[in-house]
Amino acid sequence: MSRLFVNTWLYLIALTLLTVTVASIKLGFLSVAVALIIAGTKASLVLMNFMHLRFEPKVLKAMFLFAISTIVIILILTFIDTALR
Amino acid sequence: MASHLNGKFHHPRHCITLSEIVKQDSLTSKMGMWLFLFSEILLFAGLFLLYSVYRSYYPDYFHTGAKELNLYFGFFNTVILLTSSLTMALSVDSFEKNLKSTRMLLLATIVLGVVFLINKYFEWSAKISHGIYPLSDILSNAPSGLRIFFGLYYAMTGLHGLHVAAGVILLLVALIMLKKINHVWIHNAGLYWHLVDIIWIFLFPLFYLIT
Repeated sequence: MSRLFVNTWLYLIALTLLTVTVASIKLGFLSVAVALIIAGTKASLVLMNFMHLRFEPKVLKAMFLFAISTIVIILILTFIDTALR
Repeated sequence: MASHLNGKFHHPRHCITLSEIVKQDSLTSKMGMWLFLFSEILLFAGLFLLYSVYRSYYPDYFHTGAKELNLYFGFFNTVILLTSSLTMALSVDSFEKNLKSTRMLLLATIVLGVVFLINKYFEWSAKISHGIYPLSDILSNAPSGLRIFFGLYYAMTGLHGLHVAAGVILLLVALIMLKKINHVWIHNAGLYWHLVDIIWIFLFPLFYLIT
């Protein structure tokens, strides 16, 4: 277990360094996408390992997926709304 | 006694054993905590939504505003929070094995949380001394894009900072009552701490890395 946690931490630090490095490269619109993908990966690492989600029963995982999907749908619908105004 | 209660031999299939009840109870406690965390995620999602829409309206001002922020503060605070999440996870993991290391790791987490807040204090003080704060003379006369950027910066990092402070208090309570609390209690306290870490994971690139 402690090995998993230490490895997770190493990945998190590496991804932080990566996102800082990538930000200094001019990628235009892509830079936002890359930053969010890296942040999403880091968040998943924390959720799965530090927060034990991978060891939890299916019902908890389903609850989590349901909550996150709801938020993602709200975000997407709002973006569509503001983009087409 | 425990082996008798846990045993499969004396119970008909429809009977629930004590260990199953305890398991169910700890699952429902965790569920309650996760439901609370969902409401927290929704709270911050609303702010991220505001941020995204206004950033698409004023991309240039958001870039100008982000240039004022100190990348080093943001980076070190990220490392501090990630490390505190590691010590928290290790602390929860050692709870039923070695209470002494749980205590030490919990203390380390609290110290890292406090260091984060001290950094935040210096970061905000530097901004405020430069006259960059809501309703300051400089910001009042600045273009609305810049006003919105710094308004969101103070609102979002401020609300996050409040969560860190609440987390520190929660972990202090856990530390004081360590001998009285059970595994689910400290697990749930850890969940809260990790959520605060996740929110910062998104705040960091959105405010400090868009120059």
